[in-house]
Amino acid sequence: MTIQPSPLNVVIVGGGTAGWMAAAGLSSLLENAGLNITLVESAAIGTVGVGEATLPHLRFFNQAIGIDEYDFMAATRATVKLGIEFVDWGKIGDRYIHPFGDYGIPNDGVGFHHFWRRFSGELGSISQFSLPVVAAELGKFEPPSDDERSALSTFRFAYQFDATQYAPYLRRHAEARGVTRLEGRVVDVVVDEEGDVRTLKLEDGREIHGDLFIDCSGFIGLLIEKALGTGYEEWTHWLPCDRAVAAPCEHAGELLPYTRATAREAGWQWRIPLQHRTGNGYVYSSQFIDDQTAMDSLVNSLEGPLLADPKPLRFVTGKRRKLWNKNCVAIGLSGGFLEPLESTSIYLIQQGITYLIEMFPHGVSAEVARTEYNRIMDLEFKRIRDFLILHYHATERTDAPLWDMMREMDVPDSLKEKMALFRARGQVQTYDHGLFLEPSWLAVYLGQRVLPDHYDPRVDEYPQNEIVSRLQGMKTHIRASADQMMGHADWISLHCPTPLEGLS
Amino acid sequence: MAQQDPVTIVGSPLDAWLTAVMLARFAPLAGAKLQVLETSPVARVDDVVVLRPEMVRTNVSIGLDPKRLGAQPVQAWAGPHRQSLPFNSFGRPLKGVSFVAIWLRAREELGETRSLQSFVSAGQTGGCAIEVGRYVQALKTIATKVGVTPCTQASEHIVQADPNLTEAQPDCSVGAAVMTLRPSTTLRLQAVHKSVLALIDCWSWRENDRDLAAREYDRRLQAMQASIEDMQALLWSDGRTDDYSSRLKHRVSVWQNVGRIAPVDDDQFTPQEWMAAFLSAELVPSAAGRLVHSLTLAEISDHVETCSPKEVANV
Repeated sequence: MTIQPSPLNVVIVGGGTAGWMAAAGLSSLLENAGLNITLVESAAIGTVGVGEATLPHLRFFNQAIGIDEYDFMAATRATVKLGIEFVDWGKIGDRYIHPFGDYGIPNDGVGFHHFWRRFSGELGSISQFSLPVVAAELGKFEPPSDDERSALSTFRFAYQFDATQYAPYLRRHAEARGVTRLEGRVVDVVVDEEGDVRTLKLEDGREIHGDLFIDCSGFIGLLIEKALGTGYEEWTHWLPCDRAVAAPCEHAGELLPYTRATAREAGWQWRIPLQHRTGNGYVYSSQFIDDQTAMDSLVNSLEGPLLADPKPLRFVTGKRRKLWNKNCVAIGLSGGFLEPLESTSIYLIQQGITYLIEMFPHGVSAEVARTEYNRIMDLEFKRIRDFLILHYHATERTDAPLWDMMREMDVPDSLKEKMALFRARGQVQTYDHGLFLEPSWLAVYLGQRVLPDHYDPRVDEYPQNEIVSRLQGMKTHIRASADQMMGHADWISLHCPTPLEGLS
Repeated sequence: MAQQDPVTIVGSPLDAWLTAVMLARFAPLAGAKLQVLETSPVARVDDVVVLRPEMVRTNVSIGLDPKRLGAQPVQAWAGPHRQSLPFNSFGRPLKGVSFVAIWLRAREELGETRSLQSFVSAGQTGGCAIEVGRYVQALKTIATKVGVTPCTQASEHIVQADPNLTEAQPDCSVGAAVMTLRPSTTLRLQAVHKSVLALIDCWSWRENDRDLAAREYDRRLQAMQASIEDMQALLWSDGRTDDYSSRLKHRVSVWQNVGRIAPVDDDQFTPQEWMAAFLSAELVPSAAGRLVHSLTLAEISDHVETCSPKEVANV
């Protein structure tokens, strides 16, 4: 396949979050680059509305395509997310926050957590050395500072938003930049003799021709799988949750700047506070609980009255063998799905779009770009996969068969080595490319009782009293910095409240 | 190496003393004494070696400020055929489009004739060039301060920094003892520096984590080795691609087709060094990618001028 210089017809199939993010991204960043972008969607086909909770990276995507942050937050009824609180994962009664930020500061190349491990008796929880955790627990927020000397520069933030509002918001943005939206249902896909997708046939008889197709059709993978038979790499043996039920309810209590993930008997339950409601869901393994029991369990645990009927979802964790196959790029659920535990779905969509834009060929063969794209996306998926498995595997729970299975399971070698290294030496095996860096691994290790047997002996070379005093000072400073922040709800009200007419 | 016996670092003066000082300063030695056994020098004392910016930072943190030894700031290091591999980036991106893509399109459509190298950004890189003799002498002075001595007693624990010692059974190897290095003092020092940093991270202080630490050290060294070997293959190949690893072949094809440096973990070189190395091997991208076409030719022309050589220092 050679990508013609211009004009190039790009056809996006599916109008959910992935479809409209792709349309908005391509139309904004490749404006004037000779693309005719058409998005085909059918109002009759529902969207999943993937990812009510996000990662900080989404802010950069929005900035890059020219979206005003406060306008976006108001339109999507967004709140701030400083991290995820994990409840009952290591053991029932445990809780910790995986923050979007650092723990303390390293000293002479020795990681902060080694100092904390040595003096944890005097210092208390490591979470008190993370500004986003302290702020989250106080219900406070202020945007990070650009001043590297300030404690306020040690964290980032993301959004908790109404995902069903994001696609319509992006649609307005994309259509203003020339994207053509076609309402219609794809009933047939024509593949040419070279194996490339050439034409989509719609239910009403229309035919859509394209040079490059972006499959955002969801789990079904209308083009990437149904038409091209790309194949799927399943990871259910490591990540066995395969269903979810979602149900919004009324708020009860304070508007918290973090998402909560509570481990349950057969999976886990999310709680995501938005401006106008709380999003809830139970992600579970159908091996260990039936759909009705899961739904009842969710509904009975809600903090406020139900606002809509519970919505069931089914999925298979894994990814397509190739995310870019022939002239079709699968973005979003059509490309793969890693369960929503760490809010990675929208991140993977964003990375898929970003890499596609960076490698988008112009008048040359797409073969090399395709190979490189698949290599990088494969890395992204696998690194997230290992991190997710860690949450399930690092548990001491013995109260339910799911947890027994996860605790005892044989994890990928890549993860096995990482965990052994941390347990023995407190050493975090890091990488340069892919999601979740050292603070994230530390949060989950330490939060789920994977404690290093030993700290780095260089810690003992420092005068004990001086170090403890300095670290106590750091803790006090972090607390004071958080105390000075505005209340999260007040910050939202001041900067990006959803207009009353927008609330439902 | 959780022992009180001395650890002997065996290698050329440059390699061995740098290794010793870094270990003495940063490794959790648990009281172990370090001694250095010098082998034949690999560089003459009046040779000049380039220290990369990150090496200068390490030197400063061990108490050795190259500036005080008369080191001269440099913006690049040189390959065997006088290829200039810059520490600073080429030009500046515009609206999310890399400068290299802008330069490629300017070449194709605006007749730009200046080389990419001539658009290296101005400003201090932190890299410097220093005389080998002075550098080794300074390392020895610091070594004395941190308790490292010349070798005076037999030791069972050896860190090997010399590739030519086949009879030794080292506990571990660093620098040139880990990989086959071409005759470049800069690359050789880089290999020592990075492998010693990995060794410090993986220094085993207890018997029962030794295997695990060794595996992690090996994993990091393999990644480092792959990166340095690829760069050497590129710089010393004289246009032959027979010596290219499959990874380098892939990176070359990504560069030629997409105009991008394929990211890999533990890469020892910056994207601009790879770009310079590719261009010096006459590997030029066949297309600039589509993203650069989001800019108008007027924007490209203006931007190229704002990054033009008259604003930058010579490489």
